[in-house]
Amino acid sequence: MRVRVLIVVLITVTLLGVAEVTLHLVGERLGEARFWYAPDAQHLIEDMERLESAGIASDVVFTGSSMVQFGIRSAIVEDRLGSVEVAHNAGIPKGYTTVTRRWLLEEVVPRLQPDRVVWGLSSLDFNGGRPTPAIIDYEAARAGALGVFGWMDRGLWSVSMIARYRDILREPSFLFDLLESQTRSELTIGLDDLMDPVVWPDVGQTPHAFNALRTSLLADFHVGDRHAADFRATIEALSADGIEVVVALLPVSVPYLEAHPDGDDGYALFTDWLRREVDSLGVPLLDFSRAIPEGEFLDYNHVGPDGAALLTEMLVSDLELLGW
Amino acid sequence: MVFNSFEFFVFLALTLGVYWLVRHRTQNLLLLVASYVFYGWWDYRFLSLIWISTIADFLIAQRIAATSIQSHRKRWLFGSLAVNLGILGFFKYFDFFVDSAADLLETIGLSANTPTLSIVLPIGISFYTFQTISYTFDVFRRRIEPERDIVTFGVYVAFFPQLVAGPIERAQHLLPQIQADRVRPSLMNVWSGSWLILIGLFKKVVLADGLAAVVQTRFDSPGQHGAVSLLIGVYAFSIQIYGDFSGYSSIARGVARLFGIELMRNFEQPYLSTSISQFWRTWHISLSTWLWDYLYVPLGGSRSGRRRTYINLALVMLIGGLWHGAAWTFVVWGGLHGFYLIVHRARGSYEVRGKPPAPRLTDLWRIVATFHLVGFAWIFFRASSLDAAFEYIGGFARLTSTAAGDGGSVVTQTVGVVAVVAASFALDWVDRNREAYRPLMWSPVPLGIAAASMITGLLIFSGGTLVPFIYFQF
Repeated sequence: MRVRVLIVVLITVTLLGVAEVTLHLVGERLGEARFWYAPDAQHLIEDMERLESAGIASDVVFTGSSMVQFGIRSAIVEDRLGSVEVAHNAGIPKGYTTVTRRWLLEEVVPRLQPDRVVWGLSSLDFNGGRPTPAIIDYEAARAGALGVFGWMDRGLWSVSMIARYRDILREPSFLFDLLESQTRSELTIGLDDLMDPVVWPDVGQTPHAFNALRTSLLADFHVGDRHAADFRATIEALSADGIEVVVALLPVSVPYLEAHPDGDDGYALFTDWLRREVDSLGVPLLDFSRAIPEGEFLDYNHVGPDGAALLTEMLVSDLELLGW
Repeated sequence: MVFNSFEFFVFLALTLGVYWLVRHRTQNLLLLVASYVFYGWWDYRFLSLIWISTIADFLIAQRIAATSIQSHRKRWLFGSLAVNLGILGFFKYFDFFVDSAADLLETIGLSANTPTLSIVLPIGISFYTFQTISYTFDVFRRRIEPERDIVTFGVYVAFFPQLVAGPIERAQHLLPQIQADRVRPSLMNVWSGSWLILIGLFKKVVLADGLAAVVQTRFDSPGQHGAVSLLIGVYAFSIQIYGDFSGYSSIARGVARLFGIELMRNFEQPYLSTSISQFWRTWHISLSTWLWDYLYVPLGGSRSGRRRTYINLALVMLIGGLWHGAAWTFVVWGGLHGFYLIVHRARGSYEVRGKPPAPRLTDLWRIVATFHLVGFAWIFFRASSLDAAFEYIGGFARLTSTAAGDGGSVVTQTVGVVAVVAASFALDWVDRNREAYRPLMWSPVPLGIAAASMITGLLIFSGGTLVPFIYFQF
């Protein structure tokens, strides 16, 4: 029995070893192994690490969700705002307040060392009624996982190629892509181009997207306790570090307001709450809620390239008025 | 604490390490404390419900045994039922019955301001209350003597490997094992226990969780999918729930074996069933035999004529459905299975209890037909409401569109689901014919290949959001 068990263990270990070596050989062709919850977050980390190793710190960082990611052009800020030489956009998908607290304080601030932070927000950033809170995705990924399990999972990344490429291996189609994938290391991006959006998402105002907005992003809208607490705690932590903070209420479309429970009135209640909250924290609030023409929206809450340029111009003007 | 979490394995290693160092009495005490820690990890407040059930049935069973007057014995039995079903009824069904009563009043034009309490459902409550009820019933029927040691009885009620999702053990089977001195497990037992855990984890993490997203996208928005895509969703859920629940049962048996305790088999390859009756003899065996012994037989079973038999079957399956959850979807699910069983019985078909024989190739169409009948009923089990279930079924008329709508291509998902269904049937086929495959199953090469494949699958499918076991909600 003992010998039989030993042989089985030996065969198992050998086969696992063969699988590991095979993946080691073809790994680069499999595509990008997922460490963060979203590829965009992963790319931003790589960009920030390149900036950090080049000794480039930020004068101002823009943070928030994909509304910031695609809504603000840091290159325009660098061009137009005299007091800013280096600006970076660190907005990430689903970067709602609960996510941004961890993302900004643990990842962005230590790497980019900003003097100022502009936090772009809207009501969906605070929604405590979402059926699947974004922080669950963030903390389910290796990079964001907490505790001993997270530590072990990150350890597996360096030890096992099977574990490292697990997200790709879950999709049987990886076999078809094996010979075609291009790894990120093959792309060449200059330091000047880092952290500024160049490709906008291919989305639109469709019934499906509107339904998702109503039943997911704005579902059962109310300001979540944790969302509000994380918002407060983040601003307090930034202020304690001597980082100047401005909160910007980002533009939304008419259908977005219609999708809001109680429509305009519900949204107005939220903005009143946010105004009081920001006042009590002693930071300025810039309101761009209805500042962008309807035609400039890609969908209901994301602006397109022209809308982003327009929004950034307006933001620069307001920041100048604040003495930046 | 769940079996597919890191903390469970730390907890298991620590408990096992101490368990085999101490004597029998201390082992039971340790098992009791460990079981309460395991349960309290989720919400310690609900431990009080387990304690109430434990103490009530411990005392009532002794009262029943102490008297030979039948009316007194019955009174005590009803006392036990009142405590257990009272707890279950309040925590699981209060809101459901109040809401349903309000809906009923509304349909006849009355409005009622009914109170609902938004009660949190204590995990595993349906399992341990049924287990304690069966104990008191068996003492009442003089099948067993009452247990005199509260620690032993406490372990019987709360033994952590099967506390939250079964198998619903019988006192005749589990209590003697807790009462007896445990022999340190042989290498053979450790080996087979570890295999059961590995197979269970594979079924849960790879088969069930791997299909979770495919199922969720279809059941969340059936309107965006065509007939083929919805059919894939039904197949996927059929395997997801089987992998999830049988995986749990397998891990429970494996973990219990490491403690020197054998739990009953809860599944006998149900999807290889050639009839709906056989399905119910092989699916969630501990519940179906419980319903048979403590509900169907006391109701008269098949002893009082055909009509009464059909009523009993329907009643048992409706209650079985409601046991799963306080929602009309589960009632319809149970009702559908009751209907299937009545039709089966009306055709004059009977099944023999126990492990069914290995199916022949000529049985294939019966297997396929039974699988699809069961799959159809799963739509009601999985849907969030009756409306959602009918919307899903209505989608089968959309033959033109096969949109997946969730980012993955239809081809990829179809290949994935077919592969998982095939893997699940293959595992069951080998298991059903385990006597015939024994030489192969004990040969080191196939065992090594199987182990390496399962570990690779676990490495690929582990990580990410922890998906809780489906049956925890019951």
